[in-house]
Amino acid sequence: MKPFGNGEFSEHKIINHLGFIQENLMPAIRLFSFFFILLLFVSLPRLAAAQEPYVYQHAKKTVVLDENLGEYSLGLYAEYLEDKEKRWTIDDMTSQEISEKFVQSEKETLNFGYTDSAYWVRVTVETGNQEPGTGNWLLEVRYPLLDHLELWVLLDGKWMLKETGDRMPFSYRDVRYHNFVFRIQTAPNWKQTLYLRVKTKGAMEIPLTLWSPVRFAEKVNIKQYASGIYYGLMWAMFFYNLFIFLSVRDTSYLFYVLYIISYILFQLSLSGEGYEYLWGNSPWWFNRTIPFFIVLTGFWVAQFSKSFLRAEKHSPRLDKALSVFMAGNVLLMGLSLTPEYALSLKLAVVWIIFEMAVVLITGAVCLKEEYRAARYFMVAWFTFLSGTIIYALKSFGVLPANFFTSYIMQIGSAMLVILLSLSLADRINTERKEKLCTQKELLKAQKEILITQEEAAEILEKEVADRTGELRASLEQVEYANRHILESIRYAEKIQSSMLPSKVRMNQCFNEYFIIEESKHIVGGDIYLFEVFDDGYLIAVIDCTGHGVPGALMTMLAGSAFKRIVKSSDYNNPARILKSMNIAVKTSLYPDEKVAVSDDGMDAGICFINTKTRTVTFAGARIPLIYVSDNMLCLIKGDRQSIGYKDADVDFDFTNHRIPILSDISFYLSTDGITDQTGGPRHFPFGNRRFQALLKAIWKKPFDEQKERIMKAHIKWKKKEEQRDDITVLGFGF
Amino acid sequence: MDNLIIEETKYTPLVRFDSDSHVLEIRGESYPENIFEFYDPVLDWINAYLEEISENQSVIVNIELIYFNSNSSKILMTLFSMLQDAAIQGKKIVIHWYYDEENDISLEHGGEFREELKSLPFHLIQVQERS
Repeated sequence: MKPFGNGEFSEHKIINHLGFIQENLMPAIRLFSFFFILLLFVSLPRLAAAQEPYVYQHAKKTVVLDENLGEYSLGLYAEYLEDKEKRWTIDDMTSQEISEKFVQSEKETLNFGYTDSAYWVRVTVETGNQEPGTGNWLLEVRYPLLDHLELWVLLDGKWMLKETGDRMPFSYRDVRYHNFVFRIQTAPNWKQTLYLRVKTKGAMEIPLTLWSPVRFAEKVNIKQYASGIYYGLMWAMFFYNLFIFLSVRDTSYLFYVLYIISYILFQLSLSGEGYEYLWGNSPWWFNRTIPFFIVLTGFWVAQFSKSFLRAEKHSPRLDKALSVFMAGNVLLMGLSLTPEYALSLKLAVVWIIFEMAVVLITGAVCLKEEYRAARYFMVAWFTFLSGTIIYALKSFGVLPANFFTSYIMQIGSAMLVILLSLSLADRINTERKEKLCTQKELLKAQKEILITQEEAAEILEKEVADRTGELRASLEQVEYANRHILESIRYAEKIQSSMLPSKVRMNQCFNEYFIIEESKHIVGGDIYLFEVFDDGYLIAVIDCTGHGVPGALMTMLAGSAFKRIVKSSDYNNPARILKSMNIAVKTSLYPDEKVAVSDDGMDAGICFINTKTRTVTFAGARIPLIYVSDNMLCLIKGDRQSIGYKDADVDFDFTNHRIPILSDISFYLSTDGITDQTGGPRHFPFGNRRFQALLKAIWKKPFDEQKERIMKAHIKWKKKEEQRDDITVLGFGF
Repeated sequence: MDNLIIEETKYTPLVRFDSDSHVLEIRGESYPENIFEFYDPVLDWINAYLEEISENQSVIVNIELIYFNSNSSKILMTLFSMLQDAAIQGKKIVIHWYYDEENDISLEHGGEFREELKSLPFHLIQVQERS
């Protein structure tokens, strides 16, 4: 290539220490400052982007290239021309008429906003004659979103064209870099005017820098390093929070990582790096990435805010508003994929600004509601906004341009991501603490319940022990009293039995006999008596009212009355004995009839056995005599008159019955104890019929066996029933 | 006047004296340790009842006692005597003495009461085994 010709020149030194860092981050910075300015209702949207840190004031027309300096910002050297009709060619440019229409740029960066026109830019460049001057220079257009660029260079009298732009696949580029870079060959004493034609649907911004290859390499080296740090951090946050999400399954984390990835993609699109590294063969897609990823980021920011702030709980209206913004984001995403993507970008920027306002208001409302998680959320977003403000202030020249102020947008977005991650962790921590606290309280309450229960159990146990002690004490008392009473009753039994006839004497008199005496208690109201006389002997069975001790007392009365009476001459007359006993008992029990408190008496059956005449004389007071002879059972009912009761008639004459003693005959005297005993299948009394049938069956048997049979029958009948009365059965034969 | 209802126990019978329908019932067994404690209220009620009812009031007394001791027997006699006195005054009192054919002791006692109480309508009624 030969040097370009034509144009005017003047010498100037351009010193720009920070430019090499800044300019490569310009696209992102511009966009954010644009948001901020709109937020502040500043009506000059692109003003901030026009500011460059170092301005060379003595701008004339020509750039004199110096390899040692190696970097020239061309904004103030350039002249430009608007081509509204878009029909001029390079040949028109050199004509006198059009050539004079070029306007001298007065800004560091050429910027014409959104326009349908094409723009022509011309810059005159020369190499000094003192320099070797031969070599390549690089013309960089630091705005990667331009649609179509044409660089015209006069070579050997012919205009040569180099074309580029984001409408062309990345592989077509002259220099493979995400900004547009043209190679320009120079020679000593070379002077040339370069023409650049730009046409774009987006912002018409044309920041131009001319580099020596060495300086360009240095710039790219540093820029890549800084980018590496930034993207490295963002990717680290993405993966870190993704893993947290996978482990804690909190959807806020999911929305957050989706927000990060969307933002990373947006940043890559904005810087042109996405085009360089990711979708270089798809110009169609590249042109849509910026609006698409802006609204995608907005979508996830809204979703994250809703979820993280629990907006539905704290402010249902703002929650709805955020949902509306999300719906808008989806529509704009759709729009960005149509040919109207340029419009979608403009709408997206405005939409996002209002969305951010609503997000911040929601955060503030939650903060007012004293929702702790909202604090970190607000700190994060204010850090980001502060960064934007600082950048804007630097752009306006209020703050000095340095590394911090230049990178503040990147720092701000990184801080935002980090602080949001912290706030998520804090929220989880807080919720866990609250849960722990609740659990602790629950545990405490359970413990208290347990303690109360234990106390209650203790009290109960003590009470039971006390009561048991009391019971034991009273039981001991009862046992003591019982033992005492039993002892006295046993002694009473001794006294009572002393009245009974001796078995020896009865054995002497009867050939055979048996006595069944089954008291209900130790002592009872039944008694049998036996007296021997010269001509025979008396036998009596007496059933006094009651049983136990009261009955026993009555038997003593009956016994002593009987013994006294039989000493008289009436001993062989049972009827007279009964009458005498009636009188005796009544007079001993109720000496004064008017104050009598009890009404007691007895039934009795008495037999006098005359051994001389071999007859039995029987008289009964409600006690019968049964005798069986020759398989005939006879029952002699006693008189229906008891002895000793208050209403007993003292003048009543009992009846004597005489029975001759045959060779085969058995006599039975019995109280009602055995016949009255309930039992059997239907709990009826044993009954007279059953008793008589039994006697009829056994009367011939030995008397010992008879006794056994009667007892067996009684026990079999009674089974588990309580014994109802004292039982006395007397059987005798000759 | 209030009805008298005493539930049956092991030692004492069921007492159900209904002053509205004029049916007086005693059923079960009777051998209390202290006879007066149980029967005093019963006799008191009968006393008051007999004084309250009109001269020609019909009264049915149903007695079905499986077993009773000699003390209870004396009390029953007292009770029947009171009823007999009322019957003599003109009140239409009838005693139904129920006994099971298997229970000859009950029949015997009933018979003895009937013989004693010449002026009191006293019917011995045999009951069939209830399933």
